[in-house]
Formats: sequence, C-alpha cells, structure tokens
Amino acid sequence: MSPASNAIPFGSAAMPRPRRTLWHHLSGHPGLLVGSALVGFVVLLGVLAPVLATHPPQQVGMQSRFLPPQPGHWLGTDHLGRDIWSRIVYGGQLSLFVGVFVATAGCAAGTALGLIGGYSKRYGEITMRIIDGLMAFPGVVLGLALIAVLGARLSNVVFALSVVYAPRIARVMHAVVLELKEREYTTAATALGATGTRVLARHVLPNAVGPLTVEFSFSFAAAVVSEASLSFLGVGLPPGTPSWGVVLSEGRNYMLRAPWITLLPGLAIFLTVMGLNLLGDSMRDFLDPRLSGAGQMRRE
Amino acid sequence: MLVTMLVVASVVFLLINVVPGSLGAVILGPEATDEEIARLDHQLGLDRPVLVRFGAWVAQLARGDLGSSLLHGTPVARELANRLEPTILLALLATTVAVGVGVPLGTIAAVRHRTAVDVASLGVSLIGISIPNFWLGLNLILLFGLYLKLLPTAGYTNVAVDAGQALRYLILPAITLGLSNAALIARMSRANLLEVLRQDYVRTARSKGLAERSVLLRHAVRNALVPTVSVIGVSIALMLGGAVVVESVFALPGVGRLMIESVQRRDFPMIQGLVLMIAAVVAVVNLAVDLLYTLLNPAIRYA
Repeated sequence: MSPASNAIPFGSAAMPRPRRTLWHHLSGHPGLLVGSALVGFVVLLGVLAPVLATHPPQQVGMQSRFLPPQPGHWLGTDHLGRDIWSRIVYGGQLSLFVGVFVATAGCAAGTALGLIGGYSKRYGEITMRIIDGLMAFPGVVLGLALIAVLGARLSNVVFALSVVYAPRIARVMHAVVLELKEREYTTAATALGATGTRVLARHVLPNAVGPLTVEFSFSFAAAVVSEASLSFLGVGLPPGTPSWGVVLSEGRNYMLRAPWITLLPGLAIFLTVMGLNLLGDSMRDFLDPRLSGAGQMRRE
Repeated sequence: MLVTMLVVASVVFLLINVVPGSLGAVILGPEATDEEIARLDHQLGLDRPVLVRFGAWVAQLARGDLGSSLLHGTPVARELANRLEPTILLALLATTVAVGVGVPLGTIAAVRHRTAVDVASLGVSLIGISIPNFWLGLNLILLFGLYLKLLPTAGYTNVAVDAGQALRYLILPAITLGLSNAALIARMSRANLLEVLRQDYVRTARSKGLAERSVLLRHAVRNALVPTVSVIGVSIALMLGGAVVVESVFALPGVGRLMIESVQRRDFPMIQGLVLMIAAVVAVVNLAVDLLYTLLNPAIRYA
C-alpha cells in the first residue's frame, strides 16, 4: 500500500468549520448527493418491499414462464414463472440485511481490535500479526471455506462475511488510532492525568467516528457483492431464496432466451454497490479533501 | 513472514477442526449411521486430541505434504498442480489488462486534472470498482459469445494442445477479472501522479525549459509508478479471490473451480490444502512486493 493511503490523517486539525445547512453540504459534493440518493432509493425499496412487490416472490406459475417485461410482470418472469420485480425487491431486503449486519459487526470488532492494536504495545503487536495473517486470505476464499464447514444458511453467510471484513476494518482503524494518539489534545489529556481508558473513550474514539463511517459504507458495499458472489456460486443462500445472487445464477442457463433474469438483478447489485462506494468515497473527501480520489474502495 | 504463515496455518487448521459436532457427520450428511461417522472421523484422525492433530498437520506440511483428497484419495498437491495452468495464465493476462488499462487511464486523468477527462476517468473507475465481476462476465458472454459469436463462452484447451485456442478461451475471463483491478490501479496512479506533479523537481524540470512531454515521461510518471507497484501486489489477492468466481462463470478448470467443486463435495482435506496454498501465495507475493518497493524507493525503509 502506498504511503498516501497508509496513514490516513482524517479531519484536518485547524480548519474552521462554517455552519451550513445539509443542503449546502450536499450541493457542493455531487458524489455525496448521488451516492445518498442511490442508497436511499435501495433502502426505500427494501423497506417497502411488501407494498411494492406485485406478486409473492416465491409464487410459481407454469403459464407465466419466461415472460418478457410487460404490464403485470413489468420486469418479466423467470423459468418457473416467478415475478422478477418482486424477487428483486425482496432480494434488496436481504442484501440490506446482510450488508448492515456485516458492516456493523465488522466495524464493532474492527474498532475494538484497532484500538487494542493502536494503544497497547504488547497486545498490539500480537493482534496486528494475527490480522496480517487473516488478510492473506482472499475474502471469497475465506468466506467459501467457512460456509463449507458451517453450512449454507443466512446466519452463517453473515457470520462468515463478518469474519472476512473485521480484520480489514481493524487495519484501517489501527492506522487511525496511531494517528490520533499523536495529536496534541491526546497528549494534553494524558498530561492532565486522564487514564488510558478515558483518553480512548473521550478523545480517540469520538474522532475516529468519521473514518469509521467511511469504512462502514465500504464494507457494506463489499458485503453486498460478496453475498451475491457466494449465492451465485451456489454456496451462499439456498436455491430458491429471493437473493440477487441466487436469482441471477438461476437465470444463467436461459441467458439467450430470457436475458432479463440475469441482467436486472445484476443491475440492482451494481447500482447499490456504486451508491455505497460513492457515498464512502465522498465522505472521505469531505473529511480530508487532500486525499480526493486516492483511496482504495473495494477490498476482497 | 514466518509469523504470518503460522497464523495462516493455524486459521486453516481451526477452520476445519473446531467445528461444532463431528466433521464426519457434516461430510456424510443426515443419513449416515453413527458407525460410519465414527469410522470416517477415525480415518481423518479426528478422534485424536486437537493439539496432537495440529502437531501432526504442521509436521505433514513441513514435509511438503498437503494431505489427500477425501474423494479420490489423490494427493491434494497433485490435484492442485493439474489445475494450475489456466489459473496462472488467467492471473497473468488479467494483470496485463489491469496495468495496461489502469496506468494510462490514471495518467491521462492526472495530466488533465480538473477537466472533463479527469471526471470521466474517475467515473469509469467508479463503475469498474462497483460492477460485480460475475455479472460483468455474464454480460460479456451474452454480448461476445452468444450475440456476436466472436469468442467461446466456456471451457478451456491446454496450451500444449492448442495455444491459440487456449488464449481465445482466456480473453473474456481476463477482461472480466482485469477491469475491476484496472479501476483500482487507475485511481492510485492518478493520485500518485498528482502528488509527484506538485514536487519541486518537476518545477525545476519545467523551469529548465524541458518540453512538457519529457517532464511527464522522464520525471513525473516514472516516479509516480513506484507506489503503483504495491497496488499491483495488493491486487494479486483480489485476483485469486476473483478467479474463484470468474473461473466458475467461464467454466475454466482452474484452481478456483477446484475450490468450488471441493466445497460442493465437502472434500475438506482438499479445501484445507487449497485455502492454505492460496493464502501462502498471497503472503509471499505481498512480501516480494514490499521488498521490491524498498528496492525501487530507497527513501522508504520499513521498520
């Protein structure tokens, strides 16, 4: 990794922050605007799934197989006559669940490990070594192996992906903590006699929230892709589940006859992930304009 | 490095050995009798204490023995060797695509900083990073394989049999795997070049009256490429993970495909050996890149 992306100096110290409205913030950052719009749209689809779906997502109909997009089935149907729109909408719900859960669990574990790594010399060395070792596994490979052992179930997919992303988040949080530790206000607090725990809780952690939000956004995106990849490979969620990856992989054999079965769920994944990446990236630029367009987004 | 490998080995061991319940039961499924399960557990050595098993496993690894496939009884190492060719070629070609597209894209964006070209290249790389590779692969199959009928959609021929045909099989997978990494490399080279262009020696070169072309090529780009080397290293891990998915999309009989097959057949010794080897390759490549990086940029010395 380059020096530029290694130590991430967030929230430059002496910048006066003029108070502005939310709209002012957004309009100056088109990425933030488009990103939040895309993510907001997907969240809305997922939450309103029961209302928006025109059919039950599992409802099979032998008379309505391979229908192209048309009134009644406005994104078409698959090889069992199931309504693609309804399956995509419910799939969004699943993706959101997996993404939020993995990002939350990953950020919680990652922050804890990052704090230990950055603050305690003795445990820090050990923790970071273990994290280095875990990072040697490509995400999909570790996820596959974990699910092979645990079984292909939603809870196991979520658990496996949390294990995959926690070390990656821990790495970033470690760098952030090391950076914040050197700040004058941290030294000042220590000089005033604050205990290590107090410095961590009152000075380091609150200032790490910015970078953590960025990480949340990127791991959310990565988790959505990974769940879809695993389900596509047939080792994520069980066949028949209305998950974007499953719908897509079930349409694989009928690509020439009914391309919409694979095209549309893929488009949904793509737009969701792009929204989250855009959001994370613009938040990072917002926190530290010097790094504009420099950082990495996707982690495997 | 040694510590990293030890952690890797421990994780792979824990993965298979600290399963709730009996692994034999997991492999054989719900219809197996207790006797069958006990026999398989014994065959796998699972009835011994965990520490003894770990010791035996590490000793076995130290002898270069990765274990044997549960299904075929063949050594994992041999199965792995049989599947190496398409994966290695795929990774090499994909890296070529990634560097060949990424570096020029990033360079042009930096040179035309804050213009429409810059914005467009950032947009393209955002799309490249966000597009799921299996979906990109399927779309390429649909377009170039099924509609235009230009390239084969699935399968592989060994290079020894027909090198030209092997290449035709690998073009679409390499593009699929390479593009997302190209996007990553484009972002990094753009940022690096922007950084370098602000340096004093670039101003000196310009004030000497050098042509902009020579300032860029001889002074700026060469220095900007140094950090890019490390991104290429990072992308090896991405590629190996991506290969699992891409080989499955294009039915390439490589290591990634073998991994999926082993997972589907619950061939745990195989999974264990493959995961270990993949992680080892990533760790070695990362080390090599770190060393190369210090060599290319003497200003950086790792503590």
